[in-house]
Amino acid sequence: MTIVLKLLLALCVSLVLGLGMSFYALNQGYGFGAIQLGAWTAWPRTGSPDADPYARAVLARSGEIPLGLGEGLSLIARRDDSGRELSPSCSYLIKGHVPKARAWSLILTDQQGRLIATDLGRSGFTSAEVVRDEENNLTIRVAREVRSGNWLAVDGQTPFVLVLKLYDTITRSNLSALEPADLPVIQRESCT
Amino acid sequence: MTLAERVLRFIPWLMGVLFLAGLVHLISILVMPRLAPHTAFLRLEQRTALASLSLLEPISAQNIIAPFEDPAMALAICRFDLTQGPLHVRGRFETGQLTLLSLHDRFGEVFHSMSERSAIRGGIDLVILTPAQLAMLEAYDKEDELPSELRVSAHSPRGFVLLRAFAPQAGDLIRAQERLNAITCTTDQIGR
Repeated sequence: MTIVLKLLLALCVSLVLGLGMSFYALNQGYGFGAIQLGAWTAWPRTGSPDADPYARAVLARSGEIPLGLGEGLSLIARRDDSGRELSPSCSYLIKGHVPKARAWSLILTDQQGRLIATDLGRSGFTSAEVVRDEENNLTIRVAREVRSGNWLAVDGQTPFVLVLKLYDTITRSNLSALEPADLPVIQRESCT
Repeated sequence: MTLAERVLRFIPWLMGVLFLAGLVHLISILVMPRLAPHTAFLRLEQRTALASLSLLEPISAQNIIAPFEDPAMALAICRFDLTQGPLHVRGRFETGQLTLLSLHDRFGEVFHSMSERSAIRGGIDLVILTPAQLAMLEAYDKEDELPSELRVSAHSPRGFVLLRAFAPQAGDLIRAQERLNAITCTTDQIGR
């Protein structure tokens, strides 16, 4: 093999390897600085001037508009409390507390962040809508079939994620004080 | 040639490939905000007017403005191009009604964000300008008076203001949109 061919081959391998690494990195959340709390993950630097280049690249690729520092904090759950990926053929129980915030929304989207059309016509609950028990615990059920109480429907096919948005909250600057128990647990109930 | 010799001759190639691949990876991540085809700014550019408030259609499974956006929020955009003059955002905030404001440059950086609770005298009076325009404006300022408006200088001349108004219940979305409609965006002239 001549040296030119070898150089060309090396160049091609570098390109594929480099772009492959980028592709891989952009599918791993929003860069550095992730904080894991139970089933939930937050990237508190995303949407701030300190966001790292990976976070910027991920947002640019998806077109997502992050919450700014003064607006709130977004948390995402792709797995349940046992670490199993959320499955559209299973039902889930979301239970517990939500960190202090002026208002919050819990929404259910597909893995790319698009709302999923269901007959229920509801994609989430806000802090004002959700019914709580006497101890201020919330209980939301995610299932394909009708459930009593706070119920979010899935279509049984589309893989989904759960997103918790805390609005106007001091939690963002004080995230290290937060514990997994401050966030709702996500328990798998049954699967079909 | 022995096996050891073959391996030894392969090492410089391997190092070269790894170095180049790393370089390709870094560059592709860094240029992503500038080259990505579906950034939030590019999407909004198609559906909003320059230097005036555009109310966006409510988010649904059919209308995805940006991934992971909360359907309980009414959204409005003021797109700006500071080369045509500073952008002035003015309006009243209804007290106690959660309203969020964030400034985004076209490459996805959130360079200012706040909630209506930190608004001065229950209203918003905010000017976005380039550093040069800020210096010019300050030259016109009276020495013994503080400017009445909040001034924010932008790194990049193009971007957008995103206003989010919270609708606690599904039926409140129209009222939330009305709250946003009461806010105006205009292009300012310096020196008048």
